[in-house]
Amino acid sequence: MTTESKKNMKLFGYFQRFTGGQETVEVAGDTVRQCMDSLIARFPDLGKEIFDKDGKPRPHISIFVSGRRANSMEMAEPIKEGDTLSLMLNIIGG
Amino acid sequence: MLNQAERERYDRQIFIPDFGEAGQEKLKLAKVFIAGNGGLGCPIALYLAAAGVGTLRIVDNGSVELSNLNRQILHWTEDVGRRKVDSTLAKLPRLNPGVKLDALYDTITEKNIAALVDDSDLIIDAMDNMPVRFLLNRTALARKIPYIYGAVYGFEGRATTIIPGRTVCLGCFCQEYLPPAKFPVVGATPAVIAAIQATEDIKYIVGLGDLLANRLLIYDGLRMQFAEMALAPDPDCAYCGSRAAAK
Repeated sequence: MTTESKKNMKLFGYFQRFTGGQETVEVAGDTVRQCMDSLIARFPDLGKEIFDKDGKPRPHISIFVSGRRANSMEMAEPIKEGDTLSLMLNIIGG
Repeated sequence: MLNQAERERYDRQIFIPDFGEAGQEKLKLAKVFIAGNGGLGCPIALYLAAAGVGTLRIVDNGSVELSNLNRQILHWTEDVGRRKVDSTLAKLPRLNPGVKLDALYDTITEKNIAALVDDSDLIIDAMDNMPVRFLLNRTALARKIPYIYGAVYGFEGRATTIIPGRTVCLGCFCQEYLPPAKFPVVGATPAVIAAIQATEDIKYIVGLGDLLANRLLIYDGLRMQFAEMALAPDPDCAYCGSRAAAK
């Protein structure tokens, strides 16, 4: 039985096409990685958008935990009660 | 002091409550550094010149290509092949001859950035690559110059205003290395983000309103939504955090 708590994840712009237009989705997990796995379990097409073939996060994604960028390759950052996760494209165009 | 022609030219903004002639005089004395003369840089330069920012320094190392013309609105069909800064020099003074324009054909590097930024009051990021964006961030922090960030992709855009010592810096929320790539964009997207950057610039100089400080503005043109995410300074940021400060 899992003890992972439910969290809200906000997906901005590009990523909403994989959630049928939903901006906020509920995920379960106590680390960024667990929450991302939970997201992909619900929306499998997001898997290849977020991770490369070696399972590493792609450079063009940004994940934030309550406004702080989660940038470790392991995605081990803990998620506390009340935290909000955000997923968006890293964009560079000018 | 403003002359009569300036009072008339800027009448509609002088007329804004709390702006006044004093605000216009602040704009006239301001010197703004615009890094890039492309999709973001063109409308930023147009709006700041139109607003009467006294000195604009624009740096770009590119020449106009046909595929630029869907968004780089200072560059026209007849300019294809011409240096972008020369195209801008040919047009912007016709919009507002009262603005001192330094449009420099140069590549921004670690060696020349201090001289290029010089004594500018603000740095506006209109670049299309992360290495130069991070050079701008580092220079802004070192010189304590506010830095207005904007970026676009397709119908999406981002903007925030970085005030060294008071807000997050670029390193707190952006990944430093992203592989350079041709990016898709519809021309109206950089126009939206550039208008926001120009607005932040004018507000900062005149001293009005609330800046996009510690707030990332997220524009989604496809759904026509603006969202905002509060940004938290990263104490481990290699540029502005306590780890950087301890070095």
